[in-house]
Amino acid sequence: MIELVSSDRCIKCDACVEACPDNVFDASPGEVPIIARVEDCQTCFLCELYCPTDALYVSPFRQERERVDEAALIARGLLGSYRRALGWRGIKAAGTERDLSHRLPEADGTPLEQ
Amino acid sequence: MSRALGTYGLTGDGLLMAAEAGAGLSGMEFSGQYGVSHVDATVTKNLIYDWATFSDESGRELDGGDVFEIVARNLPLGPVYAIIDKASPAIQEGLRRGQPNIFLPLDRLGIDPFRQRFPVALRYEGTVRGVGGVAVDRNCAASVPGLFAAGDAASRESVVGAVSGGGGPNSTWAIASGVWAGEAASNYAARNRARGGARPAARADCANQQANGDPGADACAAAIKEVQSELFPLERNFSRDEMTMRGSLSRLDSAWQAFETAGTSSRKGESPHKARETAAMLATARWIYASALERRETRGIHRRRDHPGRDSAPPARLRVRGVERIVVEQAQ
Repeated sequence: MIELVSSDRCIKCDACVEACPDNVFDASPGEVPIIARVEDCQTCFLCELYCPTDALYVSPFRQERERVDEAALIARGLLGSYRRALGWRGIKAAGTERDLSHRLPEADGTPLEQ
Repeated sequence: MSRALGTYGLTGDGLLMAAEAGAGLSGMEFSGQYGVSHVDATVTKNLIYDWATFSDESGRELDGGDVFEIVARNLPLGPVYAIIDKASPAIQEGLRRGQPNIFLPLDRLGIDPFRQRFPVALRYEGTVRGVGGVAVDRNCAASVPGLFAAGDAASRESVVGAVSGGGGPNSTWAIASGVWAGEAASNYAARNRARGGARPAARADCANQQANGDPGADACAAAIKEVQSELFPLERNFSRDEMTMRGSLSRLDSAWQAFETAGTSSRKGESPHKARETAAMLATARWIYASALERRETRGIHRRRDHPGRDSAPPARLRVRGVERIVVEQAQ
């Protein structure tokens, strides 16, 4: 579930409020969005994907809360890691050219094309 | 709402709306669909398990049947573990590059799935990766004039038959059916322009929360729990039999009645959309078992313990309709 909205990084654009399919956040004028209904978070990581400043962290745990430390998450390279893994450029969807899933059946033993 | 991704958004609201208007649903029995995920996580992408070895607590290797059957057979006996040890480095790289969200929860949990075994769970995926939905024709038109359905609200029986369309087929279907349904709906609207304005619904077999008021958050929570306890257990829904399904259906019918008459709660209006989602989940669960009872064979993701083989008669499709009273018949 969503565990962190970094007030250092957040630019109050409310992109996460819009992206969330489960209405977990409450927007607050001029303020950092509030995690209002954490129990409704289905741990889909979409908010992280749409955050332009890598200010969010979704814990992999769906049921239990996880106490997180922002400095430790940054040190582990976890803030924004999903966006980087997908190859998004900023908040623009990108990276599908890296997806070679369709070649997996033939890939065993042979190196994938770059 | 099984902790599998998608099961919080797709609660069957579209199906309920269509059924209230009198439309038939198809493929509802092909819904014994569960996804594999880490026990703490929600991502149920099953691709990596093509290269997995499963084991029990003692490390004994588990096999026999497909991935889902192996896990479903052994989970009731104790924890089941997976390790993706059959993937070559090229496959590993391909999976990492092509399917980053598979690794998102595992990386954050500090698990290297190619080298470490990790405990897995089966999460029920209902009609998200199951087949059922509003029965539609080639133009995505439902059996009620002027009603069109697309994506996961529409039945995918014509696309994938009796098996899950999770992944590619469902994604492509969402895009294609959206285009077709949109085009057909606008043509229909243009043809009927002369009639204009509001038209009375042909029928209004509505879930009557409007009449009774919002049942409130507590009634919703109780009803959702009821649906979960009838749909999640592997021995009820992964593999099915007549007796068990009859029991589930009768309890779900009672839960439906109770929810319908829950009346005005003191917390009225708190979350009307949740009341509607809850009614939709109750209705969907009842359509699933009503249809599954009528298909007396095992086919795809409809597994019957009491009918383990395929029916030798030519394959037939089932239509289910009705909200208060549910009727299942063979499609023409």
